[in-house]
Amino acid sequence: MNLWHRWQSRQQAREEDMRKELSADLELEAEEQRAAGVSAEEARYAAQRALGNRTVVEEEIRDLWAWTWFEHLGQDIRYSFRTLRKNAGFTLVAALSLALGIGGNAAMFSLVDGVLLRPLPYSEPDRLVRPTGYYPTGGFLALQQLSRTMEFAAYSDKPENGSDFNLTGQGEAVHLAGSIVSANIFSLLGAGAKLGRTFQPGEDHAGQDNLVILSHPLWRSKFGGDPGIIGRMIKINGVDRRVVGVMPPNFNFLIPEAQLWVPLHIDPGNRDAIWEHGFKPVVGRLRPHATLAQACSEIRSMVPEIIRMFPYPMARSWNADATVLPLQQDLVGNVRTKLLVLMGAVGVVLMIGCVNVASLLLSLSSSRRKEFALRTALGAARGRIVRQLLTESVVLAMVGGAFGLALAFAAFSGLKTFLPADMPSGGELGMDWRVLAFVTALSLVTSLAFGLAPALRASKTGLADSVKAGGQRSTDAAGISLRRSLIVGEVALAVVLVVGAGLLIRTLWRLMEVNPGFRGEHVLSVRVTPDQSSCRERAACLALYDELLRRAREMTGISEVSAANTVPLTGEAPYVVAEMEEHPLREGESLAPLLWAGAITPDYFHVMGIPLLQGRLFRDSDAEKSGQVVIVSAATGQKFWRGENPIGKHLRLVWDKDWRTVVGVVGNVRQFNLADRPLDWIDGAIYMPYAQSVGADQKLPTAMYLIARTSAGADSFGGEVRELVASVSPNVPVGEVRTLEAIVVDSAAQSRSMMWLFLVFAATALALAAMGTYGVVSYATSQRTFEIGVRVALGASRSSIFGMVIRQSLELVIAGLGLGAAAALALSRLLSSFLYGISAQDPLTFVAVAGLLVLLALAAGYIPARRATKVNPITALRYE
Amino acid sequence: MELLQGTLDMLILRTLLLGPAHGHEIAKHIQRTTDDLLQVEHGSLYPALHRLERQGWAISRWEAAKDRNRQFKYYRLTPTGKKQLAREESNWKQLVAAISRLMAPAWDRRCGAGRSR
Repeated sequence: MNLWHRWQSRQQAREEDMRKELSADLELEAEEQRAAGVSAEEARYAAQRALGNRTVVEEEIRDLWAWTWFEHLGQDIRYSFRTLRKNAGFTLVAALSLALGIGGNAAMFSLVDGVLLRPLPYSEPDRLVRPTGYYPTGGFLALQQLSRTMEFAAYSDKPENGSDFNLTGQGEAVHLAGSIVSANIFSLLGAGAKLGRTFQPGEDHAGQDNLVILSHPLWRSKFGGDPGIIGRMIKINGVDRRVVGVMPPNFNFLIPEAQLWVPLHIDPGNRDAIWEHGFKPVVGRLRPHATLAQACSEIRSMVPEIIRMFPYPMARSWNADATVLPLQQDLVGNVRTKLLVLMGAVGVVLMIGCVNVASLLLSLSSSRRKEFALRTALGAARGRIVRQLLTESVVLAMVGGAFGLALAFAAFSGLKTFLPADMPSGGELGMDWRVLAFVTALSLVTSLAFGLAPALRASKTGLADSVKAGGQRSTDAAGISLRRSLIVGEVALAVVLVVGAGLLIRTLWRLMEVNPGFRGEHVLSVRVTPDQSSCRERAACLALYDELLRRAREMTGISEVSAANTVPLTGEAPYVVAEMEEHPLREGESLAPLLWAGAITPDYFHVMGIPLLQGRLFRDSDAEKSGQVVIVSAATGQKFWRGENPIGKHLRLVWDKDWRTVVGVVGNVRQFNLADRPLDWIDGAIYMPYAQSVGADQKLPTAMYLIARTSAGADSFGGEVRELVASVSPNVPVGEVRTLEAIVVDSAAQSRSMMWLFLVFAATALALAAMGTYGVVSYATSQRTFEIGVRVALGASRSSIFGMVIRQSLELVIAGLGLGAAAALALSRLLSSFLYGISAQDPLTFVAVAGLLVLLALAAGYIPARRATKVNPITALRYE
Repeated sequence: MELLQGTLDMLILRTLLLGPAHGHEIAKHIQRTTDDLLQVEHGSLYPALHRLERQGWAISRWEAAKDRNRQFKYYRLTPTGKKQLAREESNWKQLVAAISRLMAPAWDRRCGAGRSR
């Protein structure tokens, strides 16, 4: 505002000046005419004629004002480039410091923009909401009926509720992710088909539901983009479905990997079926005028009503904490914290870059003091010099910004791996004009941040001082102390980042030390996914896997092989609902425990190296019709039968009549993540012999992993399994071979990528801080050459001179360290959700960081200290 | 007589070489010294003065006139203005020489050429 006023008053003064000048001219001219004997009136007219059209003259003069401003700008910019070229070393270091900061910020901004700022790619995305929890189809229908604030749609999001599909009859059988959806989901999201149509009301009812909609990529890859696809029958999971539509290429479903959509199969006549398996998430759209708060209180009141509708006892606590969130907030989930933390970190890198450049500019400007003094003497106004210095900063920041943008482009693809798999905007994230605008704005702000202080200081330089500085040993005391405090701040900021990186390194270390409960070395797994059609008969399915295992044992290099419905740490969570002995279910009182349920063949524990603790393992004789047996994990036994021997206890799957007997206890396995944060809805882990097993859909699991301990490589193993499966049963897709070791390593991928980013930020920050410290210490030392010369002349030893300079560097770094450690203690709490096995105030990390910084201080001080010891007193005293 | 395009700046600078002057004086001086051959239009004089000032060739100050009790905006030549004048003057001389060579009769040109040899 102040600037604006000043500009205005300057403008007024100019106007006034111009008017006065022109009026004076008119008067003089009129006077002359009168003197020549013309009448007063005639004289005035003559004067006006001589001047011409006054308004035009005034406009012409005003135009000049605007032009000169631009001319000055042009001069300043040209001059800036010349200065920057002349100080190429400085320019390179400064532009690089800025490029790192600006580039990192630009890349991170494009992520934040795409994920947090941009609306979801659906119509009226702010009306889309997520009612939390999973609902059975019956529950979903009840919500539809009861709710007055929302419309609902349901969809499947994982194999347990039906996202596995086999497409056969189109070349090699393929396994695809898809989703079972309520017919209204497309209209609810506001998405239309590119070809054909989406589902119509009622098409999710039994008898009308043999339909499918394809994704654009699937249509292109498997059907050659054939526009005649609409109306064709294709075989999905062994069932013929009619293609009714193809979605547009940029359509992004709530689970982005979905390649096809099939309608729900609602059979209102079969009351039990719609209440039992395949609980699905729902998405809602607020009705006009309904608010989020209303929707939330409504869902709380609907849940108990729905609990009463279950045809089997459902605990009162089911979905008791149900709530309604904005859909975007839910989809973004914990990525938000992560992105914000990273944005903060990369912001700190930029701040450090700014401090560094400011400090460099200060030293540059103290060497340019004479230049400024001379220009002031020649009549340059202070504002003019400040403006020119600021122009230099802006030019510098823009150069840095351009480098940074290039850097951001390079870094962006790496950054994208941080996105969670279910971010709906994941596919279309990119760098665009918004990022460009951000970088430009950032560069401008940055240039002010690092340029203003040096510019103001430089322009304040007293004339007399500076001219004298040429001949005398004056030290720029104020400049040095400003630079010293800048460096302390810079080191402090770097400490914060280094502590963050240290904590994350320790976390990853801890994770890699974790014993996951199995031994993954030399164990390969491959997923085989026959669908319900090729496994329609339970016996046929069992026979298929018997045959596969029998022939796999003959493969080269294989010592042991087994089949299991899941592999640890893949994110899968097959479960059953069970009643445990001594924990009777009373209607409506407690929730029947949900148990992670492995369906395995007898050799599984050997292959996986999971130890048997009590009882026995499964045998081939634990067949379909023999006594029903289970093995529990140690923690599960402990949890349900505290202190008692679990062997001989019983449990019953809620949809079974028969109780199953516990025959063995095995070691705990970290099924879900290395950090041992079990899923909150899972109460324990049991294993069933494959022949006796059922999944949550009350059917035999059909998709199984073949798990083998083998000396063969992944490729040859995969090839052999593919051949084997094709020869036993064509139309069964075979997935990718993965080693269990790789699965373990990959499960920490998020922690690892976070750590690497922080490490890069911290290393950059440290390098900048070291550079800054070196710069200040070496400048201060060179300013003290005379003093050092005197000391040496008076008998100071080389080592005491060396120590004096090193001490200076240490003082700076230790001050920064103290400040930074305090800040890190306060800030590291933000990281705590990313840490495992250590606290956010982990003492070891802090000590290590302190050690590292002392090393940095020694390194930064070494060269100037060495130089100081080489000062020759004679030359030094003659210095200048 | 119309002023040749672009020569006004030079004329002003040349006038200022004699000492500080305000707009009206400059115009009058140019007219007087050219025996009223060149009429400086005031409408182009003042923008030209402001332009010279912005270029840094002249600076201005409000000062009281010696012969009367009122203030005028006096313009003075700066060192860079002097250099500029020298540049423009030499350009001008070259131009005049070139034009007169073109306009002079052929024998005159030959004669001139002969003299210089």
